[in-house]
Amino acid sequence: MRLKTAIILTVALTMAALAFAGCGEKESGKVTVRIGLTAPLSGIGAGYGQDIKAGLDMAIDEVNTKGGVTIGDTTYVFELLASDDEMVPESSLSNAQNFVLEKDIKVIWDPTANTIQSLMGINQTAGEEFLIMAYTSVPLYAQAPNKYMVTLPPPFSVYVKEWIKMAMGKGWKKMGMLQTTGAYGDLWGKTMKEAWTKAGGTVVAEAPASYYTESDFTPYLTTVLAANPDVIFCGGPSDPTALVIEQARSLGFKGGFIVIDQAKLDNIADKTGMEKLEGCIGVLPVEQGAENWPAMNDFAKKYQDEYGERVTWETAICYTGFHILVNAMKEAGSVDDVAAIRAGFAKGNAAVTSGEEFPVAFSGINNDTGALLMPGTAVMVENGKFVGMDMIEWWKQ
Amino acid sequence: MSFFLNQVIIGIQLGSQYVMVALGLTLIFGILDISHFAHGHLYMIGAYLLYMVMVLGGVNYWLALFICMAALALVGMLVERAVYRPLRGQPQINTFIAAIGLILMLETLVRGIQPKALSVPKPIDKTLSFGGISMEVQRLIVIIGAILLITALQLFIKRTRLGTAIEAVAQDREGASLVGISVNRISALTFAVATALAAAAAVFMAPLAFISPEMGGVLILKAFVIVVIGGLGSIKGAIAGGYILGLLEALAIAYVSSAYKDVFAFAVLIVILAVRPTGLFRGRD
Repeated sequence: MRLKTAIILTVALTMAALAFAGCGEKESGKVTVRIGLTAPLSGIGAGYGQDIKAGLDMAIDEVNTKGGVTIGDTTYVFELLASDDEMVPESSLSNAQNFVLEKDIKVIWDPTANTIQSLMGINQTAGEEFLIMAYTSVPLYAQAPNKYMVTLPPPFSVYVKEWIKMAMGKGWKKMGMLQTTGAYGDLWGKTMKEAWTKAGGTVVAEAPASYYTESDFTPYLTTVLAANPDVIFCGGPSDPTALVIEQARSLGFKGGFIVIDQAKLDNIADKTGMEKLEGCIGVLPVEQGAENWPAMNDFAKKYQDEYGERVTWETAICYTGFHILVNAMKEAGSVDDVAAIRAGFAKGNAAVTSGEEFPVAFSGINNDTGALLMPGTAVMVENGKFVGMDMIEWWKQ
Repeated sequence: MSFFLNQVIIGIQLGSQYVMVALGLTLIFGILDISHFAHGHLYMIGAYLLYMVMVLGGVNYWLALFICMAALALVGMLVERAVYRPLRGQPQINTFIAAIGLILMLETLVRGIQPKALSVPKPIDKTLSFGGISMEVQRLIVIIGAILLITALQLFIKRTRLGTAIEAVAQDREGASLVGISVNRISALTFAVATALAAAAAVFMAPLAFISPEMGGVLILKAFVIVVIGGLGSIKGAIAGGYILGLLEALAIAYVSSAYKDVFAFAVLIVILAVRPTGLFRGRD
């Protein structure tokens, strides 16, 4: 008899616990809104995915600590559900389907071009709509217009013109290409090659490599170096990119590098030292960005304290992007009407953030493409220092 | 010409790494009939151990090489005893699943402790230049180290009693146990030798690349192809197959297309297999 009571009690308690944990909708009168994240949280891209997650975690923590957001007569708090997709499109698809069908999620963050592409195939399905918060510099909207997608960082085409100007200013004409393979790297390579040739340069060697599976780039480098280039176009995740630069210098390469936007020059410098980066062209490191946006300093410090390492653009942009999303929800007057939220980005300055208040300044959204408007800044390493150029407000060009 | 030679040397260096890993696989397959898929992950453990001993512990590189080989030999014996021996005589699928389990366990464990990629400094950070070829000293260490270890392995198997016992078990397990060779002891010994070889490969390669929990995954696939091409269980086959794959890759990057180098390299291997279905050398029947 006592056993039976115990069993009944256990079952009842478990069910009660499940009821609380399962829906988790009410938390002292507040309603929880779940946000999905599908990203590489393990593997070579793990650092990148974790940076994205950190930005979202920090923003959500801040919103929740302040007591949530009141929309209409309900107060909402947020919860991030993160699933690893190791950058495999099939995994991101099943993560998204799980989010949407099982967890009733309406907004999904995704930071890699090839997995976003697969989500773009399902996010407009009637009754199962969801908003993609796309962290990619690949202008995917140019290939396939999508009603429910918002793109966060500046498109990579912003950098192409500046970088070529910097490189040609050095008198470099011959370029060897050793960028990463995959949707992102291929598109970058194609764009860069066209622009470089158009500007009067020549591409002397092409040896793209998979930055996610290769651990030794020497055979690629010897192939590229045999053509005697002035500058090597390279890049993928920061760690393998650092290895490419390190190995190129070991092989006696004295020229410059153009490093694509996924790789972080400051993280590369940590591994190789500034000396080997001389003549390296790429995206402005975050610390230099702080000159333009004062709130970045505090944010960088807070991040350093919490995570014990240097903040990246991914973290700062996703942090700011989450606040913009919340603004858009406020403008929409809804946390689950996908069309209204997407429209909310363009209403009442929802997508305008100031550098005094946020680590990154956005100037709004292009309502046709869904691209958030954030300026890009190109940079070059000269005499051991990052020499920055002006911010490029690309949407005005 | 010097460019071609350069690629050939790099191909040999790539091949050296493949041979050291493939040798262990083929030995284990020859003796125990096991497809030891987790071998690449033990290689990965070897690289992390090097990081711990050399970077965190401040031990000299060459001493670290021996420490890693010895430690991984023990790990190899432990894996044999704890994972594979209980499954002896069971269907092949059981050992296969055990190996997959071991892979997942090791990878997740390492990732949990240190998710980010690490690097190890080169013991001799110099680049040599001769006849239009420039080459990091570490690459020569890989090439020469592999040759020394392969020679040592050959001598061990052909010239020592224990080595001959390994060969005997490889040729005929029942026969060997009838003449008084302990199959258990030989199994443990084989795992020790194979895993120590993988550790040596990891120690040689680590300063040239970076260390990540996934580093063994790609390598083990290549090593398996090499073992099949060379003839399952054949030592000569693993050596030839490893160097052939390394050379094919390096030359494909230079002369075919870097993006399709795997396609090219593996297509050639498939052709070899089509012409000689048992592999280059006759292994275990």
